[in-house]
Amino acid sequence: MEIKATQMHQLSTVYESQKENAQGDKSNHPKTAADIQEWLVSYLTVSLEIEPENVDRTIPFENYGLDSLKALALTGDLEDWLGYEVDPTLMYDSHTIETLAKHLVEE
Amino acid sequence: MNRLTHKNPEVSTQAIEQDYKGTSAEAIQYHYDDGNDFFRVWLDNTMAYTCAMWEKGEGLEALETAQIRKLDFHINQAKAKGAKRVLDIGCGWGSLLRRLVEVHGVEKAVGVTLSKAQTKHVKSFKNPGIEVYLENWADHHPEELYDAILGIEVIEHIVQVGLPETEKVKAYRNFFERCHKWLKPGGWMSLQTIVYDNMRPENFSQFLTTEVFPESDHATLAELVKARERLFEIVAIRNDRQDYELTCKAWLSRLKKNRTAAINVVGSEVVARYEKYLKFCMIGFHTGSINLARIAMRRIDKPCK
Repeated sequence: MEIKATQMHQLSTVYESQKENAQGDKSNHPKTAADIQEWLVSYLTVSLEIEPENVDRTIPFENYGLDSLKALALTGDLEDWLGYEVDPTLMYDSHTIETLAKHLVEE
Repeated sequence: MNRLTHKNPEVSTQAIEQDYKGTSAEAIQYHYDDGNDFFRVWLDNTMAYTCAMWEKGEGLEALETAQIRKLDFHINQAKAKGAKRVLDIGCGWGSLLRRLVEVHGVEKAVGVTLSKAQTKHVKSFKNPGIEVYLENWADHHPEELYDAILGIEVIEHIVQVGLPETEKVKAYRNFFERCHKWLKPGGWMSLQTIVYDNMRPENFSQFLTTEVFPESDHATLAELVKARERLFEIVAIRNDRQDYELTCKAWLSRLKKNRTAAINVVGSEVVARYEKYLKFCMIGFHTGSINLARIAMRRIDKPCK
């Protein structure tokens, strides 16, 4: 299932605003686990058209029914935002929003 | 490795018309012949566009070592060392042919490929022990039999997408019948191929249409096992999907590192598609929806009727 054009627009808006935030941040500190969690929550709410309160940070990503295209798009955008490489297979290692954020920070 | 072709419906139609010969020359050339310089950017010096064989703890920079290890593995598995005549079906840029003759004392290594660029490249070795033919394997008519046959990721090119299982098995059987005919009694064959595994047939097309494996189809292990009945006995099967995940990762890393050079050759759209393709493959091998099978087979010299 392809991501619809409207969703793509919303996603790019989210992405752009995240990028602006990052650029506006003069200290340019590395993203914390909390930052990454927020990014993932806002990404999922747009991508899956669900309310932020319905995004559970403690359940595996596969429970959200992300297909491989969406999972790839997510890791690709996350990579751009973080500024370092994110393994595309990470979405398939039973990670939750919490554990993925933690994993990326520790890595 | 499968082609990532530009989505050109004309090429697909041409390929489908090939009865049991698999992918057409047009389709193969469409992909490989424009791409020498592009592939050179991100493959290793062996130009192997197939799964390498890694040792535990090896880093991505060991790609070339892992590719050579793969070649030696298949040469040993096919008992091709010191043989008089060895056939490499789908010989690519000829790294296996060279290895057979230069390192393993093979008298004559014969390669077949449908790519003009690959043929030209192999001929440029000017090695009297190496012969290369620009032809479909189904049209290969050797003057003498072979001691061993190698087929590294060539089975992927045998059937087109969407054939029912019975038709796929027929096509694979046709391939095995040819190999059986070309091999001397007691001859061995070593194959490497991507196979579907933990995925349902109804999901195949969805997976295929997401730009991962356009224009050719993979086998399941069961189809291959069925197709070789009374022709070859299976001596060993390995599942090395982690090797392929790592190989794709190494390719992706090299492609990203040399992105500018790659874009200069094929443009940013193609480069982006390849990056996506390699990521898809990494996921497939990581999750086991697809596997990498390495199979050793011995010719059955007295097939029962």
